[in-house]
Amino acid sequence: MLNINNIEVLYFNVIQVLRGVSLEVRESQVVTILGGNGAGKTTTLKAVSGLLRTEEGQVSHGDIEFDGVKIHRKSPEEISRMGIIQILEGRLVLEHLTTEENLLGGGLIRKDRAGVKRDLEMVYGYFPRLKSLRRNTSGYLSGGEQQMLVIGRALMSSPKIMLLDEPSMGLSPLLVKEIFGILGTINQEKRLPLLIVEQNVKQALTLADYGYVMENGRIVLDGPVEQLRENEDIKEFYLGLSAIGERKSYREVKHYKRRKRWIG
Amino acid sequence: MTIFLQYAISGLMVGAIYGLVAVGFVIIVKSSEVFNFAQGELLILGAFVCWALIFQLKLPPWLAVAGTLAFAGLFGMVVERFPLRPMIGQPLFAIIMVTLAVGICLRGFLTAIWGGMSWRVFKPPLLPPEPVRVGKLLLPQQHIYGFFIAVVVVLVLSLFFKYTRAGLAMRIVAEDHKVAQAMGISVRRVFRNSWAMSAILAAIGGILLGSINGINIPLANIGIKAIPAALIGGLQSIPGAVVGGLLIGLLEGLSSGYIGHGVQDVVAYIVMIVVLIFWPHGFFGLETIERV
Ligand SMILES: Nc1ncnc2c1ncn2[C@@H]1O[C@H](COP(=O)(O)OP(=O)(O)O)[C@@H](O)[C@H]1O
Ligand SMILES: [Mg+2]
Repeated sequence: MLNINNIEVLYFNVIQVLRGVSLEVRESQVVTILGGNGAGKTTTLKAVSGLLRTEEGQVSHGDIEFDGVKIHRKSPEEISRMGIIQILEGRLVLEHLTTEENLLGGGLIRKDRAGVKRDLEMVYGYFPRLKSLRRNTSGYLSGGEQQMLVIGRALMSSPKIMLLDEPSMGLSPLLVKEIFGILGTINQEKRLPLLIVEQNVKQALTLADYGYVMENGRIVLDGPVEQLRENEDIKEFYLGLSAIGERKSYREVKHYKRRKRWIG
Repeated sequence: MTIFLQYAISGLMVGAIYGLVAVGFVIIVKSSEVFNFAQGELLILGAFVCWALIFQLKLPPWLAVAGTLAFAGLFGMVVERFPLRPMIGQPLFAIIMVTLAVGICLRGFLTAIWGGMSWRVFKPPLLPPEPVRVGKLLLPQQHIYGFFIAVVVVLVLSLFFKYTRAGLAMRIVAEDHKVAQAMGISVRRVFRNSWAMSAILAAIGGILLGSINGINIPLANIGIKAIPAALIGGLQSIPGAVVGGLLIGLLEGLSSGYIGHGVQDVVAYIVMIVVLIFWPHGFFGLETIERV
């Protein structure tokens, strides 16, 4: 349903950040993009949601299709109205608004008010804690509650696909587990495809069906998660497991070799 | 005591109108961080247009007022669309200078059309002029009307922001442009609406003050008092702007009563300086929420 076809992205017309990225999200699939800082993961999401434009970035080559429609020249407004909703990194709640106002804000792009009402109850169903905090100022919620709130807010837009940027960032392992669990439930029950950028590789590979690894603006590795979990590079670099302890002393060398293998 | 109350109350009544205009100023600041230095000129524009519709085009007053507000709204949108929108993304300072330029141009055009120092008076007045006696006090009826109109307009606005979808969209844009955009909200439409609303509020203020005192170009300087009123209130707060306006009105009333005319026009700025030194965020400034 979402196809990114060999895109290049430039900021300010000169800084090239993505160098030919292709990626696919199928109906009701959970896809994850892994990779270190600065790899271009956020840029990829912003290319899809159109928010790139607000930062002087543009897709200079290739295209992005959603349900067969090319979207890479559309405005963020048009794209969100097509049902593509990005959850920005950093749990950006509208801090002086209440929990419920945040959620209702997510429904502003919709015409069906009855649906908005129904979905408010649905969100409270997924996140009961939000219901008890509905009249609280969202800026004072805890980190986990804020992450739930921004996910709930995106759900209120009745998305066809949700793009999440590092939802686990800065949260305790327990909370991450809880939130990823709920994301899994949402994906199953609503058949809602998710594209999740993560540095928490373990959780991401537990939830996702398919994964991509990005480095330096390129996809260096991709495959079904079962396959990625068994991949030696992923194990070593991201899961922090290495087959034999003694190899650790040669880490630098190995990093270099493995990296070359991905790119080559 | 009676004389004190007399000064205080008439000051507060004019202050409510300052507050109303200040709310318009705050609405633009909240949505776009732009200080609209043309607020004073938008105020006299509304006053002159209303006057002209009644006394030059001979429209019935209710129609003239409705026409003026519609015109003001459109005018606000034009200012947003034409000189300001192409500047989105440029330094705030440049944008603010453009509002200053818009104000100066507007002042020039209004001087050319309706005359420099000569007063335009609403005759017959829009609001009943006879003072009324309340206990020992003698209150000018026009001020009472002006006060209540200002209060009702601000209340209606608060309800709009709290309970309508358009109001919620404006509050969301006031919080964070990037998030608003990610939610599919049109930040531009909110800018446009806030300019329209702000210009309408300035026009209401202009019509009220104009019908009470008459209109001339320097009336714009009273409109500019919206800026100290807004700053005293914390710049981001609508109730704050109302309180700022009331405070300025009150102190003006007292100072012109006890000290004499002339002082009253500087009071707003003296209060602003004092408040900003001791309460840099004004009385109702929004604090950024920092959790630990
Ligand atoms: N608005 C921007 N302008 C210029 N360069 C940017 C901008 N945003 C990101 N970049 C650069 O693009 C690269 C990829 O960034 P990003 O997509 O945020 O990576 P990730 O999300 O994988 O950490 C980085 O080198 C970053 O410095
Ligand atoms: Mg990132």
